[in-house]
Amino acid sequence: MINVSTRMTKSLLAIHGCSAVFLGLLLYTVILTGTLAVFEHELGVWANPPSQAGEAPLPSGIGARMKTLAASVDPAYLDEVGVFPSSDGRLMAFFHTHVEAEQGREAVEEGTLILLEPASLEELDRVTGSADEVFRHFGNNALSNFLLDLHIRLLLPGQWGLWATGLLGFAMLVASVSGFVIHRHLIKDIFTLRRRRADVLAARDAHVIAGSWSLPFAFVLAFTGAFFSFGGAIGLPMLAAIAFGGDVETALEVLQPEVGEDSSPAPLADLDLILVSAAERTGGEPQNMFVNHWGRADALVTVRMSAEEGGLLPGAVLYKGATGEFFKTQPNLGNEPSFGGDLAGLMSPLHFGNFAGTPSKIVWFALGFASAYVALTGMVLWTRRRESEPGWDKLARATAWLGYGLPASLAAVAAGYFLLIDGVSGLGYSLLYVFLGGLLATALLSFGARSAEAANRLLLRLTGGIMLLLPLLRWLAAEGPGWGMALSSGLSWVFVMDLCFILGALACLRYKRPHSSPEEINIERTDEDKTVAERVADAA
Amino acid sequence: MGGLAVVIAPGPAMINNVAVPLVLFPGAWGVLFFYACLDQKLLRAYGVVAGLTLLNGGLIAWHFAQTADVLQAAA
Repeated sequence: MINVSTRMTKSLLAIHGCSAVFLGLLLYTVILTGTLAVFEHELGVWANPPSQAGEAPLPSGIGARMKTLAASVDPAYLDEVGVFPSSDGRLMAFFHTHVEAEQGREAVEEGTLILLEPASLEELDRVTGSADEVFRHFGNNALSNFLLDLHIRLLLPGQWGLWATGLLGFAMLVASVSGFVIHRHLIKDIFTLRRRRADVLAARDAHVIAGSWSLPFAFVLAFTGAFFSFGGAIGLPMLAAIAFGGDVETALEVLQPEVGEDSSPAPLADLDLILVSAAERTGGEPQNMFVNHWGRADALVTVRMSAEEGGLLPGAVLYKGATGEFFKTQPNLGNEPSFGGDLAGLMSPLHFGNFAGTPSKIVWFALGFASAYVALTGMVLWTRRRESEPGWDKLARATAWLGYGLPASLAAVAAGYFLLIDGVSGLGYSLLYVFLGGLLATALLSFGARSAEAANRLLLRLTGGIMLLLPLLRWLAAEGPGWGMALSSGLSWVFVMDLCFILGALACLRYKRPHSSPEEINIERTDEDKTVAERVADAA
Repeated sequence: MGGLAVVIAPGPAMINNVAVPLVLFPGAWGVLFFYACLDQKLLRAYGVVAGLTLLNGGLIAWHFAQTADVLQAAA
């Protein structure tokens, strides 16, 4: 318990309540989509699996395969070459160069993108054009990309989305810090669930338990989320301009290794041997590989590695491309190990929760789910207490709409994906239209229902119904593998995800919300029984 | 945040002056936000925030002036 004066408690309660009321629903959207995005790769594999899982992110033989592919593309695109796994486990090989754009515009990447099966390394499709065009051409990652775009940018164009999610990150930071300071019985609340008390008190306790457990996590997520959104949108360009006096060349020199330029032709060394050497040298697993100046004497091969056993930060190993000779190891950021580079590097594992594989992802998912539950139930409890007042009923219905209509719309996007996808071909803006249609339909249901409570129940069942259909649509409409074939092809995530959706659907369909009238909710309770939100209201 | 890029030493990798302020930004913003909301004297809060803004602006202006002098001398 933190002792603060009554005046400061009132101010903190007001800050906590304002951040929740004004930005609560948008914050809930970002938290929920972020929670799902923890399993972005697994969702990608589930939605559009390759025919056989690859043995590693960069399987053996990929180096030789890249050489045969290099011989088949425009030599101008050998300037920069990258090979990396996409969300669904397939491999993408991007042969490209930087094309000078018209005056006043940034240079664009242009090249050929080739999609490969991860086990057989068979070519599935290829496309040539600008980076934007070629990556939009393939629809195999469309579901994961849609989820990420909603989480990172709220589907807003350009920098606007980063500004919006950065602002929400700050709102979450404010809510978590003020919530921690005004939380009077943090330890006690972590273990208090009075199931035999009135239904509303049990629901209130569930809200407080979830909030108490996820408070430190919410702080970490808010801090790192604000760092990524605002850091990328304004922080990094501004600081780089100040630190390097606006000198872009100096900035690039600091971040890139120095290799003397030599454009004379030279064959590329064995890339498969380089991958083996990089794994032996670092103890990590190669995640992706980039080759600068393929076929030239100054070719440089960069192999990005997973963090070594017990480590937290990934790094890269660099080799001279013409000789295959080890050049240097490179930290996550910058050319030399540094405090600033390590500090910035820590933001990724802390935000994405991928530092210990699946176990840490499960913990991040659970805590993210708890945070989304807290954001939603906080709004529901607060609005239910006031639903007899005309203005608050609108907010209660809006909470029902986004709180339960968002999962229903996201489930509809997955269903739409299975109905529309054809192999790995692109889907354009189809998923956006499905999502907007879902939001419109759920808005009509929420505001047309008898009450906000009825809308909650209806939308929860709708979400469950769509989720129950997803495994069937994946199997029948998208012609995905059955469980037996998926398990025998090393695609166990297909089976696990199907099972998760079925269990989630059953939970939604069988859930019985305790119904309490506003009068019941307003029963006289001790000060200890009141939620933070209720205390905000009392203070106001 | 901008002023920190001038004050913090770049270090051997030449990135500490960019990376450290970038990571500290959400924390620095949070501390200033709570201070501005909780200070009982509004004028004092205005003064502290305005002072820090001026200090940052001054440091950045001084840094750019130094850079311009170095470039002029080199030319």
